[in-house]
Amino acid sequence: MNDSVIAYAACGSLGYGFPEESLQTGISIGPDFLGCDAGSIDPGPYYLATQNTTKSKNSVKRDLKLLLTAAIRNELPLIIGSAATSGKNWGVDWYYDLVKEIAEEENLKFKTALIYAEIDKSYITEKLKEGKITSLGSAPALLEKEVTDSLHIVGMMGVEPYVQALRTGAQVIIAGRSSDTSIYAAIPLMRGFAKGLVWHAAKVIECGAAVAVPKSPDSLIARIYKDHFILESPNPAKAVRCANVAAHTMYENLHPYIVYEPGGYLDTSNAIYEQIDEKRVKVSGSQFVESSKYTIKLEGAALTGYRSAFIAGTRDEGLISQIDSFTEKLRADARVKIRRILGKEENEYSLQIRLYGHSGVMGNCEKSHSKSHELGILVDVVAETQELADEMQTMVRGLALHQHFENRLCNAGNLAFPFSPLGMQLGPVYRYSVNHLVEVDDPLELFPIQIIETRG
Amino acid sequence: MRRLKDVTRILRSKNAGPFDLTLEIFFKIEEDYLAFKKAGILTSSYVAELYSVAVNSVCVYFCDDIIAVKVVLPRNAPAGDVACTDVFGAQQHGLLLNIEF
Repeated sequence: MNDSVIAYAACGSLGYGFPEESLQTGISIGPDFLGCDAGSIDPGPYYLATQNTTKSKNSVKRDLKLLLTAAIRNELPLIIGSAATSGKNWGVDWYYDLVKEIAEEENLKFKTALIYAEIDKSYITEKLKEGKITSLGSAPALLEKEVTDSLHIVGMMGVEPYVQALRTGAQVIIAGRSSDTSIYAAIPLMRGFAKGLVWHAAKVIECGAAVAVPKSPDSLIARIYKDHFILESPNPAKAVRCANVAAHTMYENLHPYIVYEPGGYLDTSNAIYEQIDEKRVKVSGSQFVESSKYTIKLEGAALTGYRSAFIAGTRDEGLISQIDSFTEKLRADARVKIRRILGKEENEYSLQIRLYGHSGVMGNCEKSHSKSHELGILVDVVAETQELADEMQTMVRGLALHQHFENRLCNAGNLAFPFSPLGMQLGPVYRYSVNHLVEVDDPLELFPIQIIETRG
Repeated sequence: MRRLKDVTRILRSKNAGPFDLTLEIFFKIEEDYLAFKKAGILTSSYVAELYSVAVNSVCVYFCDDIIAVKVVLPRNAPAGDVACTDVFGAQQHGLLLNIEF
């Protein structure tokens, strides 16, 4: 085992961008590998259900080009996980198309591993019957129908597929959905560094420069040693702050100190954080507790319906002061009209009336009742077909525009529409149908690896 | 009397997965953190009432070592659901800003 292993994390999400200078500095330090997380469940089910990502092709290609050329020219591994936001098969292939374009443009030759993470529904229904599936957080118990209705289901791979790919001689890895930390934990674990330190370092750097100040998308470096790791920014204008590192385990996590990984959990409750100089933080004391079971996190998306919406404003004091009763009446009248003309009951569609300047952000939880001089009203209907949703939206819109309220003076119309056409077709709407753990026998069984000789 | 928004360096909300929300409060100085902890305002019941969730679905963690409080609770609608008002869950912290202690 070497004295240390150095990980270079490009940024928190491929496509966010990072300064080219940071990469140059990072390379000059002599890292053992370059990595970047490219996905997240955060932006919602749309990205898992469709062939879309949250980043533009040009932003992704810019980041990928810098990393790929740096990796190949300096003979370093490059590891990208959760390709194209959702990490489904399409995403892996789309990223590989970009890799091939770049290889062509820059005349690069290297061995690539593509690791896929999409899972067969039949596998999951089988596991469900075997009682091997548990809910994550507040997700409801998994029903077979949710599995069969899912358009795509991915599993979050642990380190094992990465290790396997690296052992096969791959220099560039484009992986589908992945535990964010596995991207960075694979090589250090292969080299025998302590699990607690490795998983903790990986957890911090997978968000790029999130723990450095001043905050902007940038890279981060972790130097992992036998009994501690050091975090530093390759950007001379930035400093890693102790308090930020200590707080980082919490981020997007259900527990302040415990982070679950496929084969166990990271426990940072006894970690010691030291600001060793202005810019660098040293961490020690992190523990990894192994589990007897190996569980993979599953994410799945299903179609809920089609959305149609309108947005408009009101600037009438009278309406604004009566907005609650106005909305109540609107819902009641809409219900009746939709039933009468379309024959649809309330449980067959969703009608949302969002009042910005009132309760748009917090909905029924809002406690503030300060009056605004203006309200933004976003109304959307989700129904079984786009046509039905459009019809319903049109009806609600007509009612809203002309509905009477007490002492109304503005009887030419209640709403200021910004656009013609007045309404918008917003297309398919999805939901998370799966957010569960599956117990597996073999960490590799769900993640097929394809090795390709890439030639520019 | 202090207000949370004046004594904290971070006060935020974010999804912890699509079905849960986490609130995080990081104090500037230990004195304020300890006073807030002692005041006993931020209990599971308080959070449950504020966010209209079941009291046994709320977890409140006081982290002395990092002078921070973390709260975890279920989202009222999962991220991306038809009734969702905040896909990232990043704007649900407002009710905490003016808590006085």
